[in-house]
Amino acid sequence: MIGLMLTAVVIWGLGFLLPGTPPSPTRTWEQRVALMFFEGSLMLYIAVLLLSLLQLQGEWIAWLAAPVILVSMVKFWGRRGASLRMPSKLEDCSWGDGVALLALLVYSTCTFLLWNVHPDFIYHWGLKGWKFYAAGGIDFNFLSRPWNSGHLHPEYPNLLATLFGFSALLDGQFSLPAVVSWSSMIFLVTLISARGIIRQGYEWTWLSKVALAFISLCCCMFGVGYLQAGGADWLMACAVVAGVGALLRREAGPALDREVGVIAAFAAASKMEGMPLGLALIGVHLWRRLSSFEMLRAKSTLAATLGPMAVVLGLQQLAIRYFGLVSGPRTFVSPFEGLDRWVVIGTELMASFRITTWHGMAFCLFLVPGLLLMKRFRFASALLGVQLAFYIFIYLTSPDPEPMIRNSAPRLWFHLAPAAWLMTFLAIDQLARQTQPSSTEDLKS
Amino acid sequence: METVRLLLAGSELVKPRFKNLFQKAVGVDRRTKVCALLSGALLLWVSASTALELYRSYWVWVADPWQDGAPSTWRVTSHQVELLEGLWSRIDDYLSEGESLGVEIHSVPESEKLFLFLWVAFLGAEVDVVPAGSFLDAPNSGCLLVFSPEASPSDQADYSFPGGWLDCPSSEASQ
Repeated sequence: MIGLMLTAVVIWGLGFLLPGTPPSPTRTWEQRVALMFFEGSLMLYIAVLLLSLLQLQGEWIAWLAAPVILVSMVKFWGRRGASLRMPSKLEDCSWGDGVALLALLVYSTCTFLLWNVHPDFIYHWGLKGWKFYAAGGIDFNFLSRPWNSGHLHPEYPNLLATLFGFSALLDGQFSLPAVVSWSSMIFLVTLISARGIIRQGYEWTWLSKVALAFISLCCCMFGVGYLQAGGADWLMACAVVAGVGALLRREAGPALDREVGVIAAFAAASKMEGMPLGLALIGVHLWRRLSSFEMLRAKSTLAATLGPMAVVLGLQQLAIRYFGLVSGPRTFVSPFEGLDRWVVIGTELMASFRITTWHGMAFCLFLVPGLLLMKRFRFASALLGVQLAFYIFIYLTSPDPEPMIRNSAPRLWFHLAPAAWLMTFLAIDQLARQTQPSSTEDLKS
Repeated sequence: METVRLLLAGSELVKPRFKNLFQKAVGVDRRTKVCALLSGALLLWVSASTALELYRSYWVWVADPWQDGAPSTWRVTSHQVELLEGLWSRIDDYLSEGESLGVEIHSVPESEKLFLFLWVAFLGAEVDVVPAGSFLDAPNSGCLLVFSPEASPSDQADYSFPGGWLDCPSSEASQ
């Protein structure tokens, strides 16, 4: 566990050392803390990725030194921005925070006891993490072995496995309870992010407390019941909540550009599904900026939003090309192959919403089209809608969609459900208050 | 009778206080009461669901219901995984530094072979574990771990265990 704690310190330290994002009047301290986590973990990942590409793995001093050098370089060329201002008093803490902490504690205990270890931790993320720990870096030679191409997804992004390997390296051993506890850490960042959105978005205090308590319990329930410890789905859920938080802010200026860019890059480094999510987030953000009739400085906006993701994807592509990392052959079919397939897929998808582990909570995704009609949630719900459409498109193009849906759909809903619930509570708040604050109108004024 | 009257009078006194307490806690007027009740009911529902999932997880941990289950149903806390960990502690004695371990599986159905291989690969992640078909392509092939319901055909296995054996040609050659 010491390795996990030290890695968290390194990550937040890196995030703190980086030049701050431009000051934003609507950014809460929670959102700044979450952003620092995203920035720090990306710096660490990029540093380890670079070292491994240069075949310098095994040099643990280099592992530690590289991110610091990277940050120093960015700091040298970067400019000083907004600093982190933590609250001096905990006066706005409520029973909602208490329930959230309790849910986190319960989830962390179950995870530490290994009750809810994700099967993919054994078959994929944990196996890679252990190999990376043993090799002292991302082991591209192992990933490129022909017999791994069928099941190990060698070309997948490796942020989670890198975090596993790095914390195990600082621990001196690959301890399962310590490594799977990364899920608890990401759960914590998700809650911090959600709290930031709640604090800036709600006017009705009772509902804000219920919202935080509900989302934390919902994540705990699914995280325990559907065995989410050690899997990468937490990273996606965290990125979606943070992305929705950025799109719900009552501003769309340059301060948000880098924030959106970092969240998009974090999503792209987390999972394959994170790449369309990152692109959708950037696309929706740019659409929002354009619709606010604000003067866009195209060059700096594109650099800030697309830059971080381009770096992550570029380095990953370099590794894929250089080491020949390929999965086994995949076949796709046309989504318009036949109406029967649509019926079968629809039935299976409905069954995935109804599974007992969700206890009906996944149905909140059906509210997304309704949220599109409310001005305040238009952009954030568009992000969820695009990602949901992407998942359904993947099932429509799969030659054998039934087992695929059964195995993956419930946890794909987990990427979107916390953010969807958050927006639902915000919508209830708005309806109950009979007020129509609109982010777009605010932007125009 | 006097007691009943006192209780009734007391309840009349307490009733508005409860009402005030509710309004103070919830902070709503009549217009928003429905929303408050709805969100409260959702919170109760998710709390009960979380408790149920916790109970299920606890039950699986205690009862280990898939004692004879296929590798795809195993969990880290399963009995079979404990046995496999024990096997690994023996295999380590036969493998030299940098040697690969080949895994040949005959004891489970075809659809479960990959899962068993991945469990072996995970528990021995610090060793290069390769499928038997690719064993000879591995950089430094060491031992072959065979999972089979039958006994070793040659009786020359370096180590036998219930359900298979370990064959290390390289160690024989060095001897």
